[in-house]
Amino acid sequence: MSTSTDRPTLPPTPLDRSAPPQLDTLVIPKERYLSPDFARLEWEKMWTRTWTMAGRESDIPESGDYFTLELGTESVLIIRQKSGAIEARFNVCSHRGNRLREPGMGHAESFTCLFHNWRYAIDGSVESIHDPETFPQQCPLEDLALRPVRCECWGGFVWVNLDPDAAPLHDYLGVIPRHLDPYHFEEMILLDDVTIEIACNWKTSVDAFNEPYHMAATHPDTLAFSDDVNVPIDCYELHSRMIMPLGVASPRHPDHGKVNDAIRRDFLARYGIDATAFSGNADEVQPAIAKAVREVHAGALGADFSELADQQLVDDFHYTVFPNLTFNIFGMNAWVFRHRPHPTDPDRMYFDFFNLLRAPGSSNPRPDHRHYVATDDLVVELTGGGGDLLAQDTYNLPRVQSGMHSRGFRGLFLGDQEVRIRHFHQTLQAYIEDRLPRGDG
Amino acid sequence: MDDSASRLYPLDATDLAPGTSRAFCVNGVSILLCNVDGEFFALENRCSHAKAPLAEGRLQGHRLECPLHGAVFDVRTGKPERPPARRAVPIFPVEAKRGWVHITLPNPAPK
Repeated sequence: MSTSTDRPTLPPTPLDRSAPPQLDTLVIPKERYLSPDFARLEWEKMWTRTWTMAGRESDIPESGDYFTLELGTESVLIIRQKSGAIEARFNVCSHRGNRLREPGMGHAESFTCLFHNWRYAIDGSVESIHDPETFPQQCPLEDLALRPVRCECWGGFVWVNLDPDAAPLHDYLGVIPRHLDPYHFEEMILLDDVTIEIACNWKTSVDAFNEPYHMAATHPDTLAFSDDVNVPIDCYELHSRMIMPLGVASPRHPDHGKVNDAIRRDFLARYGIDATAFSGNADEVQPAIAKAVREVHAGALGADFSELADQQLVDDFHYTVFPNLTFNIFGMNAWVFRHRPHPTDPDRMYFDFFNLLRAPGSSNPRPDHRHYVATDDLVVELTGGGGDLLAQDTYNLPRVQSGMHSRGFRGLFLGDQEVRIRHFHQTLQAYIEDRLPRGDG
Repeated sequence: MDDSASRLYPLDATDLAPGTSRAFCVNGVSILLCNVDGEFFALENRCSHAKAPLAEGRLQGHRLECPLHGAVFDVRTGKPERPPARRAVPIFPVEAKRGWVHITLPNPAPK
């Protein structure tokens, strides 16, 4: 493939540790997860000022292609322009406030409001107004254009910011491009596109993935092939990271230090290595998998993984991009979770799952979007597996939310393994107090 | 199909490529013929919501998007998959023969 050969080699993802964050040990008040007043404050002070990932650039390849982002009370149209640029506009007719398009993706030569036939070009300008002579105040077309929304791209993702004065996306992302550019998210394709409505606050969902402490209780089977103890955690200015070693048994597990059946089946065999013939020790699993990725899978996928260390081709490099993105990055593939708030109800949220594979040479059609409402027995089928794991988390979430309402619960009592949750709240608080972080730089 | 109640009409689909559609006027009715991966489907070329011609919309797989308000129809069934359309678009049986597609319309044709 020519995708990787012509570009300069990127510096590797930094593995050095950040300075420990200066954080207190106080209980996190539960009202932050339950109170409609706090949700409104959070919306006005935080959501309307932060960059939010809206979707994939590759979903709108042609002029007039669009998708929407439904975020709280807002709906935003993200539209490919004739120039090739991507722009965003509020999905609302300037006349009486009707939504122009239903949530989802599509193609439009223009946007016609079905209420009174006002029509807008894909650049948001007014194309026609029904019976304009009947407006005695005149129709100032510039004022009536669809209102623009800040829109920038990184990693093949389109991001929007409701604050017209927001700092550029790159500043906001801070360390993220430097850390994650070597993964080349822009070369990734979608394998699954799933939304699950869950009866919990959006932060309850972010928190559930923001620590390794829950692995032993919520995902006990994973201890056979993941180390939930030796997990370095780094907090940056807005965002944070943990690195969870995979392909090794947890020190809590009796197989620690051994190459057990789970590692042979779910790691060696899954990467095409002859697991029964593998005679290496536990330390040799990661190099063997990395070798298979570089020598076998890279060619098949049309991707060049030489900018990633062996560790990055096996372990879960787990990043939380404030406020609502969870990246589980495994090298060849990645799971990206987006946690969206409900427009009015702090006890509800939308969990979006983007299952990505770095396969720039793929001609696979884009998967259809699937929408579910979480139930206790919901197990979403995911390409490459993982649905059972996700179901263990989605089972917990409504129960955590329900329990937080109890008079018997004061708030989150967090340990060091959960320091990213504390750091998250510190960042959120900075927004609420108008101490806007300038980015991780 | 009862011959007295319907009639076959041949349509030239020799250059209708997969993933594309074309409108034909048959007995005064605009019919949209869609080629989905080599399989043909015919439906009335008129959105059930605001009567816009569907021929100007985008066909992706079996989904046809109305250009006016973005309603989406499944060309196999005519049923709406996305608002604002709530009613199905009439569909018509088709049979492909050597580049031609024979479409069966009720007789008299729908107005």
